Amino acid sequence: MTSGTEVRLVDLHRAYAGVPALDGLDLRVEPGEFVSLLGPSGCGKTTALRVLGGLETVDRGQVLVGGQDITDVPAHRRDMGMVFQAYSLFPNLTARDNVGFGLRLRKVSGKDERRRAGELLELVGLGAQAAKYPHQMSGGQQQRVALARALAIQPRVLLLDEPLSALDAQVRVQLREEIRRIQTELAITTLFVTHDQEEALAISDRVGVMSKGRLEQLDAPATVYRQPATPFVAEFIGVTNSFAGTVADSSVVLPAGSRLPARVVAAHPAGSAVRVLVRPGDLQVRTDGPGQLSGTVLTQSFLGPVTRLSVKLPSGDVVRVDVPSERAAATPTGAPVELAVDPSAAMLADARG
Amino acid sequence: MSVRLFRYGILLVLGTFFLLPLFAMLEFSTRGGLEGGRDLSAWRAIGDDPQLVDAILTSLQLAVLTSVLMLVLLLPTMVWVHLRVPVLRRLVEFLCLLPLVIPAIVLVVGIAPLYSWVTYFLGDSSLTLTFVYVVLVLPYAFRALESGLSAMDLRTLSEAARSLGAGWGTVLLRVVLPGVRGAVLSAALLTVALVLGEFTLASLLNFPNLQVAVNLIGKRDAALSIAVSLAALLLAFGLLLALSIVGGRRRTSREVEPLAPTPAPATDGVRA
Repeated sequence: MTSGTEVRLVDLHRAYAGVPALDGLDLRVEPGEFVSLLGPSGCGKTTALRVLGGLETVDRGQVLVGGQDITDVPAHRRDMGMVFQAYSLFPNLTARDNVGFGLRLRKVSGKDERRRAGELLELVGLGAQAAKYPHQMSGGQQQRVALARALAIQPRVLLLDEPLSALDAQVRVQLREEIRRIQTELAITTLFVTHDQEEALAISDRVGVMSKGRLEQLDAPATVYRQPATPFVAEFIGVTNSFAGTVADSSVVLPAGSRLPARVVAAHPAGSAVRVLVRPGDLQVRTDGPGQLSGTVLTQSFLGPVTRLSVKLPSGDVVRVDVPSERAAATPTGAPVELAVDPSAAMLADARG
Repeated sequence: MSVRLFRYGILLVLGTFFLLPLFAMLEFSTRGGLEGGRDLSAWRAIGDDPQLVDAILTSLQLAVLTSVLMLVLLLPTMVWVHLRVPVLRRLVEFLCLLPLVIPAIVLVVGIAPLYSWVTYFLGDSSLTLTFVYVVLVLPYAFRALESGLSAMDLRTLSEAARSLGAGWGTVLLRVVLPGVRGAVLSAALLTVALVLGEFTLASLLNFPNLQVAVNLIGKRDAALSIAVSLAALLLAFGLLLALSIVGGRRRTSREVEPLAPTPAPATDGVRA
């Protein structure tokens, strides 16, 4: 029904009162691809989305859709469907009329408009709610209708601006899977902005991590998680333990004298102060001998398949370690444990950065 | 029980306070001549006095013109300020509220020279009072429209409409206007009530509107002037009552099912 279109953001700059929100952002989204932009508050991800949608202007740079420069094209002529964080249904219109709004503006006949609105409401699972007004629907239903409304105009690109953030956890998971299903079915190029890492990693073809108005990394979810390109990405995505130390040979010496094995590269010569970043799942609790770190279990948090241990080191630092839940009984609160670090999973970062 | 009695007591006192003068007006305007009894000749004479009929028609036209011009000027301006230059909201509010604190006589002194130009270009029709009346109703209309605009998520709704292909005109007519229908109605009715009761400016600028005519008639036929005044008051009350009924119906229909929670609005300035 809708063919994918390539989207390119080229060297985008945008500042608000001198504070840069976009600082040379480059992004390429392939036709039919689902790309999520992830980052902390103020990183510029929503600004990037709004610039693509024509709701914000840029100080410098280009927005190309399907190879066509649309930087100066007003929002209402861009043919982009957008779903917002806030509920954005027109309160005086029923669900069906909301979905048909864009079609009426395009002079689609009343009969075709009703048929198409009905099809899209069926697609989002709300065929029976067509006659309801927004105030008669739940938040999840309203966002579904908003999605149907955005899709009704057969947009070249679908823009999703944190559409799930106002919903409760269960509806969120359900709706994000529906969004992915519909996006795959329609093969529509989609840019999704969220601050929820799990959401982004779960449904995207690629995830872009932004910081200070720039893209730090744009890769498949597994790559972003397992092979972060920068210390920022490593620390932002998932939970990360950070150890301060000094590089020596192929390891890092911690202040307490422990040695952590790490992939030492030329950027961090021997003697330089660094931080070692290790995910909780890359620390192993050893029972068959000494590890690189020893400590005492402070707390256990059951997370389903894994249990997260907080382990207090002699230095006073607390590290988090994931163990399979069925083996968590072997490490009760107060038990002394030895921890080993997988050198291939430990990442070095500048001490300050 | 005592609380209920207290409420009824308050209602009775207030009702008496408001209704007694109206009853007095009704009694006076229907009082018979020397022979006594009730007489509706003053009410019948309303339609017989051409000067009065002209004044009534003028005031009604002024009410409609003022309402339309006020909405055409104020609503797009306020929407624009809300969406594009929210820093100017306080300034616009201040400017709109100014007519409240400027005495009518000062307004006339200031505006009289301007009106000599208005008369020069547009003729000496009483309908030119529309311009000064728009200024006069600004404080009330602004308050009514502001409450309506603040109650809706104007930014998100307008952006949603624009992303669907609506230009600014369409956004205003098909998104904003239906969303603030109650506020627009309220502003229009306040305007009508104010224009129908306005005397000072029309009198000082020498334009014959309803209240000026009532004042003149009062000097020769007190019963007729009271009948016209009461009719004008009842019309204004009727309009306000209609407004409250329409507003009440809208609220009731919205309370049929609980409202879905609304997420916190996006903050201005640098966005995430």
